[in-house]
Amino acid sequence: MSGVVVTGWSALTSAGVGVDALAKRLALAEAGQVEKGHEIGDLYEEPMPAANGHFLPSFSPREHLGRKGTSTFDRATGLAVVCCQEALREAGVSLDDEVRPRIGVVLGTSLGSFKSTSDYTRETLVQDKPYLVNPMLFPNTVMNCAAGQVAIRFGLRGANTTIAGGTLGFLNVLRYAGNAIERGHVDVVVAGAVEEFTPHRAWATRLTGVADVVAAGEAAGMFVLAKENTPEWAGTRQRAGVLAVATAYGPGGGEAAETALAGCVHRVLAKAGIDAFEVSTVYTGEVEDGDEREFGPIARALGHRPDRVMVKRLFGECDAASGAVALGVLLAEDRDARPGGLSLLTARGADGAVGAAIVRRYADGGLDRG
Amino acid sequence: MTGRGRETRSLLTGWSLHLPGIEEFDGAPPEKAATVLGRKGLLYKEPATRLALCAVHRALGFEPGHRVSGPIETGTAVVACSNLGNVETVAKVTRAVEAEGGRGVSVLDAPNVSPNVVASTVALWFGFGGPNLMLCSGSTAGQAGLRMASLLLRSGRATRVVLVGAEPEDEIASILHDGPLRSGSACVLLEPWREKTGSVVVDVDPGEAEAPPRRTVGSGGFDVKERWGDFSGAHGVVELALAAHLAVAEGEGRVGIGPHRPDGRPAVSVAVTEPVGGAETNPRTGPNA
Repeated sequence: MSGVVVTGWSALTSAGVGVDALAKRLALAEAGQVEKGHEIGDLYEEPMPAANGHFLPSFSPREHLGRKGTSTFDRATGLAVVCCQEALREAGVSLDDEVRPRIGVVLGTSLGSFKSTSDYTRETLVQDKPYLVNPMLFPNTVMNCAAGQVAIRFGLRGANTTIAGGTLGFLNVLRYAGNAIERGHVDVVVAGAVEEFTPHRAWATRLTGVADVVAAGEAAGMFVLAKENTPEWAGTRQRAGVLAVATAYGPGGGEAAETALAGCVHRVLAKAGIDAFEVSTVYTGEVEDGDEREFGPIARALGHRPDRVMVKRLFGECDAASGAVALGVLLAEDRDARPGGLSLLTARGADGAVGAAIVRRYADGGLDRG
Repeated sequence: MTGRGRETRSLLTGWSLHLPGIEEFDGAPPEKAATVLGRKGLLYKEPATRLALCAVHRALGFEPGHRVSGPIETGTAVVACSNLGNVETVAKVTRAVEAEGGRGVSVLDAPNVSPNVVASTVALWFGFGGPNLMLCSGSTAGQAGLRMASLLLRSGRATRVVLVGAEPEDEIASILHDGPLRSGSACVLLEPWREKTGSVVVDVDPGEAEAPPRRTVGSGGFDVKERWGDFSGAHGVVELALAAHLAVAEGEGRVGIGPHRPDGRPAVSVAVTEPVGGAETNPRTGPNA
């Protein structure tokens, strides 16, 4: 891929709905701060592993989308659909029947709605007969439910893809979306990732020992991606350019993964045709200063130690959506406001999956071509 | 073999063609899948899923009715290719919702509405715990599947890939396909290439050093679509398994799969590797031979 531009975006995080809520949260954050998240209180009846979590308090899809068609949405689907609506609006995409077949949806996740799948399975066991489960809730149990509902809601008829990539989810999405645009399958992709905050994910996060320092969180981040010479209907500003994405796999997850991650960094630099010293910031999946499992190999590959931003400190462990939150933070922060600031987004999964994307943020939200 | 060879060559350790009504490769039609797979567990399984299970069963060389037991094979991945496998169920469920509301849908139909049911059923049935992929990318799904399979092997994500293609033949599928379909399935088992003479290999983009194939599957050779019919998403896997059959069972040695590149060489070929120093080899025989 030769790179795509972001013409607009939105994010739903524990800070609230939309870009402004995220920017406000970032402006108030102190350097190095680790957020505890909101008090869970009576959000769920089930016992939770911790008293706090990074969720959206009192989130209701109905408030943003109206009653129609939203009654069977699970939390992940609600987050994704609302986020897409905000992103399309923010980008200023003018939707009509001519452009709808040229817009695709690519969404990253770990498991879809773990709660929906698990509740449905449980119903088959606790009800008298398996036949008593509600078939209307079945669509929620498939991973591509959220991406499907996004497409149905806005009539986006281009390629519709769900990528279950775990930690790597969002980088896989950027790569897939870039290829789909590059090869002409679609002109525009609404690309993003979503994870919901439920007892199921909170316990999974705790029990797999992924994050002892930060609690589980939920988030959705959606980005309107197009070619650089994008048609005007896809939005008139260029907020950032995703110059190159690379993913790899280091079997076993140890040294092989470090080599693979360094390889990804070399590949994105080469593809984007830029010098390692131009990279000023790296957004990684770690949470502690002393933990350099991801940053270490990257810094060695770059030959210098750029600033490291750890978004999970503020927004919790959002698994596949953490990468989308990182891109949101990159776009919302003042950090790289200078023209041509280059950042790396990276991810390293426990199984040895690794990836990196190089992003150039344009000053002042980019050229206004309107 | 050069480093590039390692990237483009995989070992083909088994294959099958399960094509109901086609002489030589005949197999049980979906409604008689129990004669291959055994009776239990087939209730509410769709035709494409049944055909896929039959093809995998035969590629693994199992006796009729044999059931897998033992631990999950975490190194074995499944890549399934099918475009129209579940459209009949989707149409049926949609009609039921329209006519009777959500309560009119049978819960047992629900899993079949998800297109990846073919890939996941194969994994559950045979105990394959590795990566699980479903490709619904049109008539080239089989080629895309081969590419995915070789990536899984090269990256070390899997030590074996079960590449299976299956397509049904029903009214809804034919309407969506805009033409008659032929129902059938095929399967190939792929492993990372290791140097051993007399084994069967798949070369993607064979280099110039390779001898040109004696026979070709596809345009200019054995044209599957013309001779047997349109297998849609399963087409690429049917071609691959047929090439393996011709290379080994019919002794052709190397069989190319079209379309040809501009230099006249095939994009993919299946071959029995030549013995080094003239030692005699005994190419293994496929389950269909």
